[in-house]
Amino acid sequence: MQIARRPLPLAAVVLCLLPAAAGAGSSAKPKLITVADFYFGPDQVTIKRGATVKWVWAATNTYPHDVHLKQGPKGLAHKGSYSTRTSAVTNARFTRAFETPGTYRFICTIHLTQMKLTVTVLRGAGSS
Amino acid sequence: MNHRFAVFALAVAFCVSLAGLTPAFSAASELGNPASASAKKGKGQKKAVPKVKVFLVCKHGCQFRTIQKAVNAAGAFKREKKNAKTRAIVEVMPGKYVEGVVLDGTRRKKNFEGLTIIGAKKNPRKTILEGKNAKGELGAAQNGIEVVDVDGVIIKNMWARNYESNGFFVHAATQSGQHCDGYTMNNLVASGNRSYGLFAKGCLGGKMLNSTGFRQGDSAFYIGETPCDTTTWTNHGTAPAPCQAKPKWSVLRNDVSYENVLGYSGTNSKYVLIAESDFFNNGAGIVPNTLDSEGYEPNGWNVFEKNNVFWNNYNYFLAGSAFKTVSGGLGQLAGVTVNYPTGVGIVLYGGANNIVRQNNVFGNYKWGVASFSGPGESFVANVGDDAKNINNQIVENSMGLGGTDPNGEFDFWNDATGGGNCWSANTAGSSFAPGNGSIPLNTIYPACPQPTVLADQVRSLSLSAGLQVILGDESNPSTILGYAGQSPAQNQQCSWVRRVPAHPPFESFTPVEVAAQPGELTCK
Repeated sequence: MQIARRPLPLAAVVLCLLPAAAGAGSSAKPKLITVADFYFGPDQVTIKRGATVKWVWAATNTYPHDVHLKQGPKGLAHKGSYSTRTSAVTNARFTRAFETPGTYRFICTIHLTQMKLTVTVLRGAGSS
Repeated sequence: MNHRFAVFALAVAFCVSLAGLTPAFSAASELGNPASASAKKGKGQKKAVPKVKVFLVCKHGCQFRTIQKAVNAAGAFKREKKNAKTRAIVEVMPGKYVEGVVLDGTRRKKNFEGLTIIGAKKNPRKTILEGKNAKGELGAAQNGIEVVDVDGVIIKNMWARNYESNGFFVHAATQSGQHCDGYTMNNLVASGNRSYGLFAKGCLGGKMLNSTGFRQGDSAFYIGETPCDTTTWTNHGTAPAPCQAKPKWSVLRNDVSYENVLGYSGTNSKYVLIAESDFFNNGAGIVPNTLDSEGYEPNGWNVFEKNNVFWNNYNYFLAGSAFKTVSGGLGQLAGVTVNYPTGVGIVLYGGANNIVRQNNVFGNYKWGVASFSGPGESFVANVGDDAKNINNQIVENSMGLGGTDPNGEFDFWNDATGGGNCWSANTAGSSFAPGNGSIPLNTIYPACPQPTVLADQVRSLSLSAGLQVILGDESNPSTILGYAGQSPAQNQQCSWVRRVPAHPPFESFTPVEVAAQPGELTCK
């Protein structure tokens, strides 16, 4: 008996391809940064291109903080999307993927002299 | 009325309403009627009519169902040049709005300057901003209304409750170029918010009027980090310049604050007038303070007058408290966590040139008015030694409600640090904490006026008077370190003094205290 070969539906093709396209980078855990009263912890992180950083506000905070990209790599697109629009005291999180290699300098605009963070994104594509 | 005409009129009214025009009249009644503004100035002369555009919000049948959408529309409307002279008003009909509203003045495509957000009903409790289950950009909605880098915003007739951070929050970043000048918060209620009720930070001048705050995890009213003319301003040196050459004042008047950690807190606040307001049943009433956590240290040049400050004996450290403190207190000192003192009416912590006058201070179980510095020398409680009490005047205050409801341990308590402070014309027979007696009372509490001192001329540490700390007896609650550093913190209550079996009635207020559970207080 001959089994007729039917082409796979487009959706199935897309589904099959998705994990490969996303690469190992998206499956990696995001790098956690604690947003605490008057510091980002850690205040320096290095990740690979495509990796994600997740800021989590500490439950013990008393003061409001935000995340603001003060300086990014040259030619960075959608610069505004690396900053929060609002501040938070606690029970908050902010996640951002970094596709452009380079050095990113963040501050809390409310405590800009105390709270600084540097994220270095390496050129190596894929896993973080 | 002709039936067809009535139907037509209704249809027109509906369409106009959808266009957001009809409410202009109701808003006008609340904000100043444009019709009356257009009255003839003189013969043949017409005063310009201020144009008003109203963005109406309600749960059903209005153009906007959320306040945020109306605010965004108003911001986009004002962004257009042709609308520059038209006043934008977001009018919110009674109801409960589960959202956190943000006015982000840094957004280029919006203009929120001078925007008014107003509850349609004068009773602020009819228009509720609910924080429970409200979502925001970062997860839970943080504030009822947050205003970032916007001048002249007006918020009126609303109640913000149960937010992760604050009820109403107007602020600038400490970056240069950002500002939030001349805000007005009027006839608001804030309750159950994790940090502050009405909160302004980094702003030049503003108003918090006719508002009420209760059960906040920090203070009901807060003004922080008042900016100076230069970012490098300091009160140190031989000839410090004024923080602002032409001060813009922040005014709190006719406010009510009860059952909060602090009634009012002002970290590094300046040019704040608090008048004719009630602060009662808080942990402490009015507390301007100087902390490293914010810029432009110290606090100072504030006036607190004609307030009722009473029954501030809410021990929020006890399990039975209706709210939890989020306050980090005054910091660490000699390895001890120093919390804000409870049972105190007015606290001056590390401030300069404050005036406390004609207040009615009574029924606070520890002290009526307490003043102390944060020793930045040996103890490094305040980096840079900025928290020195200097040149403060405490005058003409009525203490103890005519003897019927005295303050507990003492009416006045001062740690004998700093200099230039003075006490005059307060109620005759007021009590003053003497310390160990080694320094005469009239040296610790000299009469007004006193010569002005410079911050760098005086010390923030005084070991001789036995008021700041007693070495070898650091937990002695007659000292500020011993009292505020009690461990567990609820033991502050152990040294409270109740002068009368029960507070006599005062106006329509009721005293509220937290009952300690068995074993919760471990008084020696």
